[in-house]
Amino acid sequence: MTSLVPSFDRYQRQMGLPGWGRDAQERLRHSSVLVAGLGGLGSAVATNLVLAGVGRLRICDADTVDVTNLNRQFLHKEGSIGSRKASSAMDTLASLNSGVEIEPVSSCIDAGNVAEIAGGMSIIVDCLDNFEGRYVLNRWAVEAGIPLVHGAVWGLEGRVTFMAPPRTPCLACIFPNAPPAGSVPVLGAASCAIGSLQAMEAVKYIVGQGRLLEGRMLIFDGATMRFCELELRRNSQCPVCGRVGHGKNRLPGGSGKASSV
Amino acid sequence: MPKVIIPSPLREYVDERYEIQLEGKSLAETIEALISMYPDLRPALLDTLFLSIFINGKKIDVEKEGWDRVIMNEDDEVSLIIPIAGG
Repeated sequence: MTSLVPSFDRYQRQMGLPGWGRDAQERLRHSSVLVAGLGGLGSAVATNLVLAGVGRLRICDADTVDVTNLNRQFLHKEGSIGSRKASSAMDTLASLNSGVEIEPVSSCIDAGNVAEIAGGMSIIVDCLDNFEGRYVLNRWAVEAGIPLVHGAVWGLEGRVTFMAPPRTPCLACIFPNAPPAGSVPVLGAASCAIGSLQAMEAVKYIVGQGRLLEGRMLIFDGATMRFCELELRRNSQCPVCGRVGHGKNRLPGGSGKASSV
Repeated sequence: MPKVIIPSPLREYVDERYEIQLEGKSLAETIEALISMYPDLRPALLDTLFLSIFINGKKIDVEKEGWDRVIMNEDDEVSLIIPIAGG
């Protein structure tokens, strides 16, 4: 698709960030990101990545838009109720930046299709609303050696971490067991905040700037406006990533620093 | 006194309090004090299948270290972490 706006002018303000410049923008342009889940988190993640100018964005969600989504899922509009979320999101995202290649996928991620959906991506951003799908995505990301940005929300609270074993734990190290999915209360400002932080991690990784949330989980509580950080450790007995070598530095960026793709 | 940070999904059991200061020389005493104040929390806190405990941001392996052998300091902050999956 040909962009209606000259390709670099629109990114002037972020290219002016110290250490970014045209090289960073080229890295973004050559990157591909999977956004798994197009709810509250996915709305913020996909919007930020499209505005930042990633080259290819694969967006995946099997659901259709429901009226109860509209308090937070700003990719979808009142007129989208009943439509596929992937299709509704594609329309909104394409209108924001015609220079980004957007690939909508209307599927529920499972062990049988995860390789097809997540394959070939530079990084995965997990915005799903259930642990069943999150565990599938986590396992595949570990086996494929693709980094994954985890985010989750409940109420006014949310969490973010960057996973890339063996440098970090995987989801199963942190939460080896999880309760079944259920409908949870969420304020749009909370999912928007956490989704924006997930997008920040993905962009930092792609561009190779900053310090990623590797081995750290950031917790934001909007009720108290407090951020806190937990130190995460790998589980050497983890059934998912336990066999991935300890101590190896698979990411090329060096200790704790974001890497290029 | 040590402070326990209550995660959002458990606040309904503690009168919507965000954090609670408790007397307790050990982690066991601190958690017992919390349960005695809010008995409805008991199932969530004793379900170690889902619960992780961090003190000052570092994870405590309660099975290995033992609830009563983890000594609490005056300014310690206990985080109760349960899985959340909202997207």
